[in-house]
Amino acid sequence: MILDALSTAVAVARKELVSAVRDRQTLVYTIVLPLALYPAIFWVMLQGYAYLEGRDRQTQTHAAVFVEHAAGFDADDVVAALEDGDDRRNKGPFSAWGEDGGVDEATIRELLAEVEDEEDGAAPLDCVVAVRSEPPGTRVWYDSTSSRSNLAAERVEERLRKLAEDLRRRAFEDPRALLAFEVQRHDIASEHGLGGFILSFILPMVFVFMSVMGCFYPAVDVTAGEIERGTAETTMLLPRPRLGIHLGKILAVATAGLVATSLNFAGMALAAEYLLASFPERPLEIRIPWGAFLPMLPFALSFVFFVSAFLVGVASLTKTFKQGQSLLGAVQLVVILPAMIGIIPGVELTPALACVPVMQTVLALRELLQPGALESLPALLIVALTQLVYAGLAIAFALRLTGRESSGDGSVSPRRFLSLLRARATPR
Amino acid sequence: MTLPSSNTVDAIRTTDLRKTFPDPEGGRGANEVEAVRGIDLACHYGEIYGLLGPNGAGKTTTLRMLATILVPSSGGGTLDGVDFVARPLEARRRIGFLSASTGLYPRLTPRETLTYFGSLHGITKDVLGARVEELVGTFDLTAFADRRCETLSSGQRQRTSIARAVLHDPPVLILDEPTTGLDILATSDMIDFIATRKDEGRCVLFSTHILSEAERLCDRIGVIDRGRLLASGTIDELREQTGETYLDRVFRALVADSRKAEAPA
Repeated sequence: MILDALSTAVAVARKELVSAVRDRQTLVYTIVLPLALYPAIFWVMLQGYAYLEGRDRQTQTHAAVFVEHAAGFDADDVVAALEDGDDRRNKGPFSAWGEDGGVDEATIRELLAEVEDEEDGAAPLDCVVAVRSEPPGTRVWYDSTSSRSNLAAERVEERLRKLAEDLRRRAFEDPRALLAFEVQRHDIASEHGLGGFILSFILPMVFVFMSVMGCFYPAVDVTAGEIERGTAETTMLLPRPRLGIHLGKILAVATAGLVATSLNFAGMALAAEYLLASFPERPLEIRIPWGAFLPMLPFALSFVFFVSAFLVGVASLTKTFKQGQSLLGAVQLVVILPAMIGIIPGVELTPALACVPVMQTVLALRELLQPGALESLPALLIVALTQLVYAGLAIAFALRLTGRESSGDGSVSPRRFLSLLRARATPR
Repeated sequence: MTLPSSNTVDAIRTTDLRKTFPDPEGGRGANEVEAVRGIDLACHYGEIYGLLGPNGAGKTTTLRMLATILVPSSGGGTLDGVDFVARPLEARRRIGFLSASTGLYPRLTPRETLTYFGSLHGITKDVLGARVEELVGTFDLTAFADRRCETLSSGQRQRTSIARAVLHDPPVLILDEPTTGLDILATSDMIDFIATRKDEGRCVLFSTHILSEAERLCDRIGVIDRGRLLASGTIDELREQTGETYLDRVFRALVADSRKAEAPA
C-alpha cells in the first residue's frame, strides 16, 4: 500500500511538473524570475551607479561665497579652496565667485532663485556659502529638491572639511598632538568574511521568499486550478490510492519550490561573481558559501515541504484560480513575516526561537552561513526536529483538506473551513 | 476484458444508495441536501441502461458514487462484482467514466494523457505503447495526438476522453450526459460508440435528459426525480405502467405522480 502510494506520488508529481513547465505563468514565477532576479537587480544597480558616477563627474558646480569681515579669511581664500579642492567622490569641476562681507537670507534666496542669464550665459547658482564671524561657522544654502544643488552642497561640505583640517593642523605647533586622537576604525574582518556576514542575513530571507514564490502558482494550479479546468474528477478516477495522488501534488509543488530557490541561488552566484565584481569601487567581496550548502540542505528540504503542503492545503479551500491567488496572496505574507523578524540584527537562534515555524529556518540557515555553527548544535537539532514535525503536520493538514468532499462555492470563512475539516473523506 | 457468459448477471447493483451533502457553511439540518434517497439499481452486461431525470434529480450524484468519486452516505453496491464502497480501487479498475466535466489535462497531449492513465492503470510499458497506438487509430486521434489538449476542438477532446475512458478495457461504462455540448457529428459518434460497447457485451449506464437518445439507445430506462428512482424497465413496460404512448408523456406522468404523492396534504 505504502509503495503503491509512493509510486503513484512520483508519477503524479512528474505529470504535474510537466504541466507546470508548460504553463507560462508558473514558468515565469518558478524558473525565469528566480534565475533572472539578481542578475537583473545587479545589472540595474551597476548601470545606475555608472550613470550617476559619470553624471556627477561631468556636473559643473557653481557657488557664491560670502565671508564676513571679522571671520579672519578673505572670500578669495575660500573660493580657491573650493575650486582647487579634491575629494574622493566628487571630482567634478567647481567654479565659485566670492565677496567679502555678510549677506542676508533674502539675498541668498534671490540668488538661488536666479535662472541662467541669457545675455552673458552665466550659469545659475547651485549653492551659496556664507562664512560668519559671530558665532563662527559656515552655512551652506542649497535646495534639497534639486540634484545639482544637493551635489554642490556635498562638494562644498567635503572640501571645506578638508580646509578646516589643514587649518587646524597648521594652527598646532606640534601637529602630532592633534593626530594622536584622530580616530580611525580598522575592521579586522576580511572582505570575504564581511560578505559572508551580510549574506547570512540576505540568503535565508531570500530562501524563504523564493520557496513561497516558487510554490505559489503550482499550489493553486494543482488544487483550485484542477477544479476550474474540470480535471479534478479525471484525477479522482485514477485507480490509485488517493493518498498517493495528493502526496504527488505536494511533491510537485515542493519540487517547483526547490527549483525556484536553486535557480535563484544560481542567479545570485552568477550576479555576485560577474556583475558585482565589475563595480569600479567594489564595496565588498560577496562569495557564495558553497561549502555551507550541504548542511543547509536538510533544513531547506523540510522547509520547502512544509511550505508546499501548507499552501496546497490552504489553496484546496478554493475552487477557482482567482480565489486561490487571492487567498494565497494573503497567506504568503503570514509565512514571510516571521522570516523578516528572523533577520533583524540581534535576533539569535535560541532553543525557544528554534521552535517558531519559519523563523527557525531563517535563524538556522543564518547560523550555518557563519563560522562556528557547531556551537549552536543543540539549537540546530531542535530546529531540525521541529521542522520535521511542522512539515508532517502541514502534510497531514493538506491531505485532510484535499481529501475531503468539497462543497460550497469556494469562498473561505471560518465556518466553512471547520466544516471542511469535519467533512467526509473521499474514497481511498 | 473477461465478461460473464450470461447477460443476466448484474454488472451494476446498488442497494438503498443514499447521499446527503452537508451544509457548506457547516450548519446542521436545514441546509443539508438529500441528493440521492435510497436508489436500488441493477444493470446487466450487454445492456444499455439510461438514467432519465430533470436537472437536479440526482443522476450525476448517483453516477459519481458509482464511479467512487463520492462516498455514499449509506447503502452501497457492486460494480462487476466488486463492492465499490469497501474496495473503491478495485472498482475504479473496472469502470470507464466519462462526463461533461471530466476534463482533459490541458497541457498534456492526447498521447501523453493516454500514456499517463495507462501507466497508472498498471499497463506494462511494452503493452501500453501498442494500446495507445491502437486507440489513436480507433478514435481517429492521429492528426492531433501530439497537440496539447487545450488547443483541441470540443469533438476532438470528446474523442480523446472516450479513448481515455476505455483505455483499460473496462467491463462497465458510466457516462454522465456524454453528448452535452457536442455538435451533431460528435453526438452521432458518441451514440455509435455507446451502441458498439453494448455489442461487445459491456454494460453501459448513462444519464441524459435527451429523450430521443434514451429511446434510441436504451434497453431499459430508470426515471429518477428528487433523488428517488421512480420507475425502471423497458420503454414498453414504462408505457404500460403509465398508460402513455410517447416517452415524454411517460416521463411527465411518472414525475407528476411522484411529486403529487410527496406533496404535503
